[in-house]
Amino acid sequence: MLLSPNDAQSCLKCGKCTSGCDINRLDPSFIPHRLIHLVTMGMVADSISEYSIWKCSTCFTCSERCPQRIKVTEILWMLKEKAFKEGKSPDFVSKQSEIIKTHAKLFPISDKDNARRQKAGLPVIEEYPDGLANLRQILGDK
Amino acid sequence: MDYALYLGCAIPIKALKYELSARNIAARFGINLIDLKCFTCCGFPVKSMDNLAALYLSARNLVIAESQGLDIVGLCSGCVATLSEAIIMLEDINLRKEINGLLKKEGIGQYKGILKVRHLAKILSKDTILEQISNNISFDLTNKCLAIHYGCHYLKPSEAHGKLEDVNRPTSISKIVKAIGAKEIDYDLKSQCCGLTMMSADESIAYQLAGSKLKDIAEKGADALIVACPSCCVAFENNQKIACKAVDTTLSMPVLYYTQLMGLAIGMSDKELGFEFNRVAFKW
Repeated sequence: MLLSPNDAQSCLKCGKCTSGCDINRLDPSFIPHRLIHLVTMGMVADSISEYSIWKCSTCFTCSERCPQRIKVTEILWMLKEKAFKEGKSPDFVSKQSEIIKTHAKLFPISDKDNARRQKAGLPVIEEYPDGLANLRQILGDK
Repeated sequence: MDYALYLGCAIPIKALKYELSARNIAARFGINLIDLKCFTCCGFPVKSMDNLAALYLSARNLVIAESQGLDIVGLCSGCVATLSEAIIMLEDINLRKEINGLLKKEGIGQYKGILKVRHLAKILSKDTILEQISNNISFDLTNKCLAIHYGCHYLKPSEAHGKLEDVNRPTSISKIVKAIGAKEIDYDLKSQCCGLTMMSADESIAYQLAGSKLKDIAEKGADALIVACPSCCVAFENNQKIACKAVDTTLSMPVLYYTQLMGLAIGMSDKELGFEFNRVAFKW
């Protein structure tokens, strides 16, 4: 099953996710347990308006540390998805989405890249010909 | 042993030295890495856009290998973690049905759930291979102090990686360093993230994460940093100057992939190991 806000409900607000977070140490505005708390309070709309959700490095330290085994990193992905679908994500996300919809890869390979590979003795990588219709359909054609 | 080689998006463009050294060292130890067509993005960046689309991307890559009867070997820790997580998610019957519906539409076969995904470092750190390495040392590295950056997705989520090693006390790459005769140094920020995945959201923090780690290992006397993921390598090597500036220091810290280190120890050539692509020069 894909995650839903219910998967955060057992949060104890203990803050163990935040206390182990590399990002929080450098940027106190990123507070994982606060974001999870908002989700448990039914305030998803508030949480996805916070730019800080995009600062998660997806290191999974919070998920590993959680005494309730809440998948904190994954809950943040769920919030990012909601933000993206409501047009509240930063520009870089829409840019990445367009690239992946067109090429089915985040870093499409060019002829120049392939020439460099051949020179180094590596095989040519074929560009994915037409992207992926399924992917375009799920992510929405613009 | 035959495996499907999953390169992902970053390796073929940003990590030629890793790909070269990985292919050559694998061949040396009888690990046959097979290139398959039509692999796409692993799904990792798509999780921020649509989790079903991300799982579909992972699943179609799994099916491409599975339909050839092959397990997957990955070089990028992010790809390996994402594909491994997908295997666990697809244990859910309803979700598997939904994904298989999408795969049917694409016409590439159905996901059965019989394949495994492994990081190459986990295979190369097996005792049988390390014994052969130790018995065939031709380049002395005993005076080298090496810091290892395992990286987040190499170890986590631990469930996806089959809990093969303790995320707080990993040993696989340490065993490689020991086998080639070098000394592994311990350092305070060992488990700290390289920061690259959040670079687009906040550059300043990303550089501080990489820079503080480089500074830490330099102070502990490291001769080089050993990595196992192309993203980590970009954070510590390509971005080294600016990362160091973010923590008010200047360093020239060589960054090597574990595959380059292993090859160097057993006398493989610079060309085989892609050393021409290392950005921080070192003379050992």
